[in-house]
Amino acid sequence: MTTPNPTQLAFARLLPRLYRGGQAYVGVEASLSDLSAEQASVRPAGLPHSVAELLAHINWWLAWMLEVVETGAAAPYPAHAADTWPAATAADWERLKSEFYRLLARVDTHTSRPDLQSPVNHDETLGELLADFALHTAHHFGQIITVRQLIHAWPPASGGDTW
Amino acid sequence: MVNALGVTTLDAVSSLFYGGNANVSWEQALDGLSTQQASTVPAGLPHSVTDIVAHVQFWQRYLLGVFRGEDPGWVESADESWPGSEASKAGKREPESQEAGSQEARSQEWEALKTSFLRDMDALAVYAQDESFMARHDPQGRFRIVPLTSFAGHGLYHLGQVVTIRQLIGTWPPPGGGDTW
Repeated sequence: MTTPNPTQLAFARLLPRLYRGGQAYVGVEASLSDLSAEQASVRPAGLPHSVAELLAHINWWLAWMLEVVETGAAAPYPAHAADTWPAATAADWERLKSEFYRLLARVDTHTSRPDLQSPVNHDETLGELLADFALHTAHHFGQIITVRQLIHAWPPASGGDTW
Repeated sequence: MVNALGVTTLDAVSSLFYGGNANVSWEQALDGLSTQQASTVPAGLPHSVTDIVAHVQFWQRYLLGVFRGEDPGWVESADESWPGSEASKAGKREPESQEAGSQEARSQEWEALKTSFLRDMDALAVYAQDESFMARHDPQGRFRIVPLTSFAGHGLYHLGQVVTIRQLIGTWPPPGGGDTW
């Protein structure tokens, strides 16, 4: 195993923050706060997904990634993109949020591993896989803000990311 | 096999500027969008695709300035980092009679913005692959890889919003397809 150098360690320290926003973009907790289950399940006209559906999709991929990371076995990609968009209704909202934070806690246990350079899955390293899914999460949190703006549920009481 | 400085980590960070492996790429996300479509602000939203690209480019240029030792200076308010938006253009609108005549100019501006945006993205991706540079500290005492990766995250956050805006204005997926299968 290669001993991590300071740059790798800095990258490893950054990963949990990349999953949570708060610096590069609005924090995930603010993004999900102050939103009722009814609001979370509204799909704005012209858009394919509600906030709850976006979060269900984020969770689906985080769970997929963690399965790969924790078993060390390469996982097949789903046959269709639609398979990664579970149905989500108002009744699922609280569960989806809890699941998201539980998944983040599991991600945290891997970001400080000394073997981020080790190969995993299909031609990737652990560090690459973790970074890719941090930014997949960021990508869809950007969309969560847009959906909240459209349904007049932004910013939350704690404020957005403007100054 | 990787060396002690972690080339694959740097490759990963470098690729994140373009969209990373888990998202549609910026190039796809901007493909086939006319100047008029790009500048459309959907009802209920504060920004057009052009505004968002100008904003991400503002921060790309800022980071490149820091990397090049130019001390670009922090902004006083968030509005300053949205150079193309209505908020920053308030009071600067052209008279209506001149607007039609400036259509050509707007097209040129949009093309120039995309060109500089993709050029600076390339420049940041090159920095990301420079092992010795990434291991240096920035003026805040952080390894360069930290702001670089954060800025890549900022870009992809807004990339998601570009896709949403295109869905709203009926211009998604792009001609070459989106990120579905």
